[in-house]
Amino acid sequence: MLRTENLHYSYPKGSALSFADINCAQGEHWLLLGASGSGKTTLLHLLAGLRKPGSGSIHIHNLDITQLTGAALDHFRGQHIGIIFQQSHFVQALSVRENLILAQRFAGLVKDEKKILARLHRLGIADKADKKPFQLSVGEQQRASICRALINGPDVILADEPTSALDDGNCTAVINLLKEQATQDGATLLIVTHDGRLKTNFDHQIKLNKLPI
Amino acid sequence: MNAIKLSWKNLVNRPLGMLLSIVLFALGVGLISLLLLLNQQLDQKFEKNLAGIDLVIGAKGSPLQLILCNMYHVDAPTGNIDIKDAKPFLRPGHPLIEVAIPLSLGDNYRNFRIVGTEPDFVDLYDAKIETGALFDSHFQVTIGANVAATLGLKIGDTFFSAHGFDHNEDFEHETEQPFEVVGILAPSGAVVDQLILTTPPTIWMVHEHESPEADSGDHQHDDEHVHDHDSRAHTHPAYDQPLLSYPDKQITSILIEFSARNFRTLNMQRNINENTSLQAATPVIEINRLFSLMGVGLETLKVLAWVIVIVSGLSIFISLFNSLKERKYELALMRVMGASRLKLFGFIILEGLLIAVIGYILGILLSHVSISLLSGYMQEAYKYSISGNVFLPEEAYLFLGCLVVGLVSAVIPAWQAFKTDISETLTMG
Repeated sequence: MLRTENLHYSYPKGSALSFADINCAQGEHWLLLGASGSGKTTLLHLLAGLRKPGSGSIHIHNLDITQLTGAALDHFRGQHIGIIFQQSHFVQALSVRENLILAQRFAGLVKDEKKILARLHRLGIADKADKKPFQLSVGEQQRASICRALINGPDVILADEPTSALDDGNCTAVINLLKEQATQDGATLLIVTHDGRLKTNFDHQIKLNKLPI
Repeated sequence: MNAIKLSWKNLVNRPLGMLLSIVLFALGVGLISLLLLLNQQLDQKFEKNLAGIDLVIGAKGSPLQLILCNMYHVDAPTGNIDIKDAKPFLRPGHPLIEVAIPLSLGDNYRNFRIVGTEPDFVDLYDAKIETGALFDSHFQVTIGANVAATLGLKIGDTFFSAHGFDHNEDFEHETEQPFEVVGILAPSGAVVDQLILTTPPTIWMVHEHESPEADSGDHQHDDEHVHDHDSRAHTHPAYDQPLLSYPDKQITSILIEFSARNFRTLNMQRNINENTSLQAATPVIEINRLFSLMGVGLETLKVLAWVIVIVSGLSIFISLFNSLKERKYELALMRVMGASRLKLFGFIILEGLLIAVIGYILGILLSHVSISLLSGYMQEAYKYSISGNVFLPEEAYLFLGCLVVGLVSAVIPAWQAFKTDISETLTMG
């Protein structure tokens, strides 16, 4: 489902990274651990098609996304990859509901408000649907951004340090929520983190080492 | 959630940032549209009121004043001329003159000028009778459509005139005989809509009643006095002969149409100005002179208005550019959600265009509402009605111009959005 081969990336400044191959089957939950500066976020951006690798291939849904360019890549990302960032980002001018509609529209799907409400309900923030993002608490914002990442039923969910700003209680809650939602959707979940607290929660783990060329 | 709605929400989300741009835009557009409307409507009015008149003959003085007073009815007369001096031009059979119409001015009724003239006067303006008839004898009046509408006069109504051109109770003539409305003209869009027409001798008779009083310097208006006037009035001639039979009486001017314009008509005009006590002025020349004087001011204002529009374009550019700094994560997020670069480019362009369109609509409203408000004042001061309900093709071009300004000012911010590096932006966060 999510597979990389011989992935290399060169920063514009000159330093380069090589990544060990990843192979996650559909529905599996993976933890990708690595210290700061090990290239975790870079790898996540590569997997999400936000950056172009220097060489190697990334297969999602049996499609090599390194071969996709421009609008086709944006479109594929919108439909098949859900991304959760360390900080929650929203279109501030729109309500939570409208942000989710936007996610559907940008992915080229038809607007489905029923689906949005059902998903918000599952995440326990249905009553916040018509609030602006800044009116939500940090925890609610996190849930709303999970909702945004999952709204189109992606095949792959990528999360970048989703717990680094949270205390232990919230940390466990968010991870459980992510795993639960991914399981319900049958999606592959890959969490990139340096947060040691998560180690015990995942069967599949990759440790990211800086591999100098 | 369509693109326009998204751009609109983004605009209203930071209203203060956009307020200045929109207000500036509306001011610029409003000013341009106002100038276009005024220019077009005044042009049209002046054009219409030229009425094919080739020459105006009156007392010596400013030629522009002669034209403004006798053709546009906005200025005071240069003076009066004796009928014996005007005779050569009023007499039928002049080889160069097709139409010659005498005017006698000097009185008003509630600010509407009373013109002593001949029934042919209405033909100059192609004005038609709506109800009643043209005046046939003294003290009968035919009134313009606007006079009837404003004062609520009907056929058979009577009134007393007042001296001068501005309504003043103290100057009301105290004659035995009132004016009687015998006809109302259909609206013609020309100055005749604002006039009260009667015979020239009516004007004389009204003044003959008053002259002894003026001479004696006695301003007491007791009954006996009035009675005295009345008895005198009966001794005056009935003026039942053609105008030329009264060489010592006076009129204000003659409106002339030539049978053909050539060097002989030019010579005639020069001859009048050099060799007689009269003055002859050509309306087209005087009006063009007036317009060229006003034109400089209008052009300057128009340039100023465009400068305001350009500055508002600059303000759109700056506020969009600044807002992008705040919104860079949003833009990256949109890309993450599947929007292409081109879409982001389009959204920002759309925001610029939206400001331009809103500014345009407000500006057009501003100008048309002010014209409507202004028209009451114009009507009172210049006897000209202008309308805020007129929309010009130039305003459509103005709209295109506004779209271009909106587009150009949004291009650089949109390009900025287009080349946002998602990964770098998100990493910075």
